[in-house]
Amino acid sequence: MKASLPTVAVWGRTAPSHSITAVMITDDQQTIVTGSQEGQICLWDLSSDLQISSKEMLFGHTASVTCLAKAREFEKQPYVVSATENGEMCVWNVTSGQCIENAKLPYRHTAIHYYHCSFRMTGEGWLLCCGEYQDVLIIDAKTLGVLHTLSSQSSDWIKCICVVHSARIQEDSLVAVSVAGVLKVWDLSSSLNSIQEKQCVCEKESKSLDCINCQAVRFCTYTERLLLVVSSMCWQVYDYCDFSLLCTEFCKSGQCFAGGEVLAAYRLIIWTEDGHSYIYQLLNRWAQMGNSHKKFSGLSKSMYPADGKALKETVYPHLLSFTGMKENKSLPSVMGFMNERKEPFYKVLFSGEVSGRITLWHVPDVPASTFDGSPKEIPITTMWTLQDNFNKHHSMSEGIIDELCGSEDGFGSAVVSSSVYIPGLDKLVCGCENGKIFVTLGLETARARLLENISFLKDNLPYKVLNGHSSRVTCLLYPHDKSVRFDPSWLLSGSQDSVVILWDIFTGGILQQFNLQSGAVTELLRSPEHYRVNQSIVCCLCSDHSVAILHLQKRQCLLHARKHLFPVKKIKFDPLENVLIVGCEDNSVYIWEIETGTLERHETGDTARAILAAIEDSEYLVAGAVLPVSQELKRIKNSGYKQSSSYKHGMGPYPAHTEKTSDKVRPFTILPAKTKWNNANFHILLFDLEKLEELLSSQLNGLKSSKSFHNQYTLERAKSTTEKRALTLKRNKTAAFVPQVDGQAETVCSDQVHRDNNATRPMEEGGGIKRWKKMKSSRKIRMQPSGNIDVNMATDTAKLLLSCLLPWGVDKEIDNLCAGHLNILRLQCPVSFGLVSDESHLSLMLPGWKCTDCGVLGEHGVFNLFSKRVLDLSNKYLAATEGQFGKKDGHENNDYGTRDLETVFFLFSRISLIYRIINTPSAVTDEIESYLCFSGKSRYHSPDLGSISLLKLICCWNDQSVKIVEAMQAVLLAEVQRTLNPLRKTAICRQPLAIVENGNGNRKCWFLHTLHFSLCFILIAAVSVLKHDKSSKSANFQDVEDTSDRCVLEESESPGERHLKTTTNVLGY
Amino acid sequence: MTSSEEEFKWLLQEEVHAVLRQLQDILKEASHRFALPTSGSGGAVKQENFVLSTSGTDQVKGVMTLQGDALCQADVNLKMPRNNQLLHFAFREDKQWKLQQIQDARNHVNQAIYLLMNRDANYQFKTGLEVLKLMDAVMLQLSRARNRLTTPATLTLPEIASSGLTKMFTPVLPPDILVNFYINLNKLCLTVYQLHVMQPSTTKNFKPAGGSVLHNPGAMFEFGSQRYEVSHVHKVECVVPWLNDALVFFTVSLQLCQQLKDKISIFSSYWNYRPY
Repeated sequence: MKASLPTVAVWGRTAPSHSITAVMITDDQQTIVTGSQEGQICLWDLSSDLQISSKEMLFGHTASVTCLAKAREFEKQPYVVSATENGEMCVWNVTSGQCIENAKLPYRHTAIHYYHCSFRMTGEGWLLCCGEYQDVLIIDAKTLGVLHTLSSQSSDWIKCICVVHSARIQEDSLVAVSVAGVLKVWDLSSSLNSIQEKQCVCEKESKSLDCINCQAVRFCTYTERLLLVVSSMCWQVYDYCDFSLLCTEFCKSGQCFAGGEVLAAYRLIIWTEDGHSYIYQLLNRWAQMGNSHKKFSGLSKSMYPADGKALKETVYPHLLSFTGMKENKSLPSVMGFMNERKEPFYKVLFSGEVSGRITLWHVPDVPASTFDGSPKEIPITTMWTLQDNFNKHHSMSEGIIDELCGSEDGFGSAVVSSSVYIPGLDKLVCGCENGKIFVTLGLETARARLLENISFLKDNLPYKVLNGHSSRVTCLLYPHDKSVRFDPSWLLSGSQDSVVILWDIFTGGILQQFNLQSGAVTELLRSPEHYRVNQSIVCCLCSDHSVAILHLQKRQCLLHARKHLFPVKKIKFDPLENVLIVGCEDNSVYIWEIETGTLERHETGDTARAILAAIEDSEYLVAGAVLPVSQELKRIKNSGYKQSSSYKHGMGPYPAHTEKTSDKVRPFTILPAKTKWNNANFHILLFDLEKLEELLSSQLNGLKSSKSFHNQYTLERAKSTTEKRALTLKRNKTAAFVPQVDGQAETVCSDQVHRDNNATRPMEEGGGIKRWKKMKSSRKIRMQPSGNIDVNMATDTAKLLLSCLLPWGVDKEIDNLCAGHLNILRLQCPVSFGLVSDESHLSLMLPGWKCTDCGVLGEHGVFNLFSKRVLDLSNKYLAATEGQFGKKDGHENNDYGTRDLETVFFLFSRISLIYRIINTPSAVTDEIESYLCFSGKSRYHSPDLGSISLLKLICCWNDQSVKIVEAMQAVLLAEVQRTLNPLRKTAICRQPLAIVENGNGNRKCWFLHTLHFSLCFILIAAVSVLKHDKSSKSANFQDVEDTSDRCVLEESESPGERHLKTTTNVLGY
Repeated sequence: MTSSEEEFKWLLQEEVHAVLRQLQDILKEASHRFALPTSGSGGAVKQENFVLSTSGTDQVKGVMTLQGDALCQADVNLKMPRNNQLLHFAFREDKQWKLQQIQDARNHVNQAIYLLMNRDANYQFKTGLEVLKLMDAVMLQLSRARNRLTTPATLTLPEIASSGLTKMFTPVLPPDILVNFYINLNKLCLTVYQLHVMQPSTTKNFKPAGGSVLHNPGAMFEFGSQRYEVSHVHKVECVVPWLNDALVFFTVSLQLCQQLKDKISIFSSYWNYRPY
């Protein structure tokens, strides 16, 4: 099963670095796709007036992206393929951001071309690839498996390829130029069969061109005759019929050509490595001169019109125009050209710089020179960087602890330079540029950052500052969370000035300071499990490539290995020999004796390789793992079946396992992440839906069943934790985070009741704060006492996730109800939602996603709406499921706390269900079964007999490529509206003010109205329902607005009649 | 402006270019060793003869002619251990065998040179990051070039049997003989495998061998519905001096690159604050 983890990204002020290495525009001219040296793919919205806004960032590749290409007929499926330096290939859906397929092949591609011949090919088409291997590979666009190779007589690497489609002879060929400058042509159409039958396909023609470093080859489809070959020194035009050279143009000194494209017949655009481009007109006497051009070769070097008259019978280039640059800054960039002749589209020249800037030039349909014949400048149309988006939407790009740092420094805020999250303690530790280390509570910090109007939370966010470093904190390590050998109070931090400090995280005191004098500390790694089981040893990598071994117990540096010439790649402890084996990036190996600290051996070549290969088999440490996302996901994914082992702890050789599982109960994790080059730190909040659901339901059962909270779950927890206590006596002093131990259970739980009540009634916060403060002062630590952490965390986490999913401002009243009753608080700003498409691929929205869409709606208050169609989907969902839910009884009997919790749980289980359905559409039948079981379990809700129709609806959405977040949001919106509607009456009684200041009552009216319509047509196909919704909305909106006040008045009369009245009211108009 | 900022500026403006110049010179030397037909004027690439043999026995002897990345002539003399019968094979006149390792190494070096050429003395580095990225790209190409020479392909026996190499000889190779050429570090290597057909009735447990640079006697494989076992392995090699030079150049330039990276990294606190 796929790991099911919705995520929310909390970006920082600085955008993650994105050095563009590949750029393309999709066929619909709505999305720009860029690949970076850091390995991420970025999707950018391109508006119809050529404005750019970043949309999503896709994680998954582990190396620099080398090329991008479309991977399907774009109208059918918006898929793009990316390839990297280390041979990874990924097919992405650029609409949803999901990874469709991925593979790792031993080939490094530098260019990919999608080829599909619908009437002669089966399957989804081919990716014709070339790169650092011989000849051309044919890769299946669907499976990414190698189908065949196009071979040639003298094989060599191919630099560039292009497919030549000639309408005249109805034949497709592949033209390629090798690194040595040999032009090769393969027949594609006629060799389809032999390729499918895996017969050898050799080139049809081969000709050595006098050009090295060929950058691009293009066929002119307008004349079906000219072939443009761009090499770094010059570009040339050949006659495709006999490959005779027609003209050559050399580049200016200091420039290198990088590519080109045919604009129109005899018109070319050529661009350079540093972002310049030139449009040439080929002045042509070809037609009149018959075949005489064949005699001509290579004479027209840099011919300009004046000289051109002398060489009338030749083809020569005339510079028409060139594209402008900003401040004459020329940076290495990759460029491309999109030649669209159809009306709504543009001819666009685009470039992506290493700095991450995208530049667009709108090239006029008929470029012309100025009147005096000198070339004309085409101005830049748009320029944009990721950072621009971060600056523009600065509320969304606020760092996770900017609140705290800001208040400390007065002006500006300290930038977080490294961070670590301790799941066991729910603590987030952030090291800053200025050397300070902040320790806060993870969930509280996330809530304070994301939610609105909880100055209460912000002001009281408990935190601690560790002062000790005087320069940037470069790395942090909490060794205990993976291994119990380490004391749970230990926290390690390394800094730019080569200092490593061992902290007591609870007291904030410095236990030991190591001065390494080896440059910045780049990484802190805990030693592998089996090495001296009871010893607490940590490895420390420095920027001078040295490795320091620190013994934490003894507070001693055992060894400082300083001879390495290249960055350290692998480290292994050999317990038998008591040596440290260090593998470097140049494949050399150093073996150090730990006792004496002497270099025992230095090996290179074969011996080194053998030693490194031997290391591979056993446990070793890897330096420089970039994004820990995939490991984290795997960890959470495995949590299901590892659970069982948690009860037989201590016996195995690796006691850490029991410790690990205790962490895994946590449904919420913060994952600090960093991109390669800059220190932009961002945090990913991971929500484990399944675990949350489990926790919530157990909590609900606990509240329901009896007043003593000793339900099965807490008992189990208590049991396991007492066992653990025996194991780690040291934790006694921090018993705060060891929940519900038998004796304490009663008191702890009573705390919880209070807190719950506080939470549900924010009006009466006063008492809560007092209580909180009291509790705070009663502890030695400044942390919030987290005795009931699991239970509270579960509800808070669930509520936070629901807050992040809800579109706010669609209906102000609903918003207020959410905040007032369910304690699902309004967001401070739209969130960057993220989704995991499989275990190692992740897409995260960037600040500024779809911000324009909300404006189009004309509803200014609306934010965090993932797309316009969510509202339609939501209505559709309501219509489809209306009959099944009838009246919910059982609510009346409960007191507030339970009911609200129940509602939260219900909402949560809904979106969790939707998530499951969409994630595993193939297993729909299983899902029905499991769902029926599941709904049987939660006996507090009327069993959903019609859940099958719900499933069908969701599956139908899935087919319509509704994004998973859209579906979740739509369902949540619908459910919130439905659940809260009965509450409106009481809400009005209790909060009359809220209704008066709420001028948006009409929203609800049209909502109800459309709902009524939908009901009428419930049997009609979903599409027609949608249409009706729209038409009725537009027709009656005006009238509804007039009635808004009356509706509100009527509402307050009686809840039963209200619905009826409103609808008849509307129908009356 | 502090003195260290001044120093960093000097590093970017002067020192980096000096190192890049040096790197280019070294790599061009390396590239010349691969006898590239770069200029176009050179025409035919020089041919070199190598005699591959082992000192102790003269079971296998090979005389190879290497022209750039291609083996254009090869004479293999093989003394059969059983009957001391002497077998002789040579490349067909019309055929030559591309040594892919040399070709790949050459192409990688060329890519590295191209990367460096793009940042000639006129180019102004604005950030340290830029230099680091360039160095990373160059080092990637160089380490690949080196790895191509130091790590021969691990092939399975059926792959060797089905490669085009077997069809290049005249007289045609007998079905119980396989040959393979590869580069290992600075050496050109020739391996000859003598096979014997495994009878279907044999009691031996058939276990196909995996991929390896050099297979040992006793390795088994299935090819064309026939099972074979390797009975004898002969390996002969000969040092190619210019490959040795090239490897040394690679190592030196890799170290230069890393040193430059280290120098830049010292100032990392400056390049962080200087966006483009």
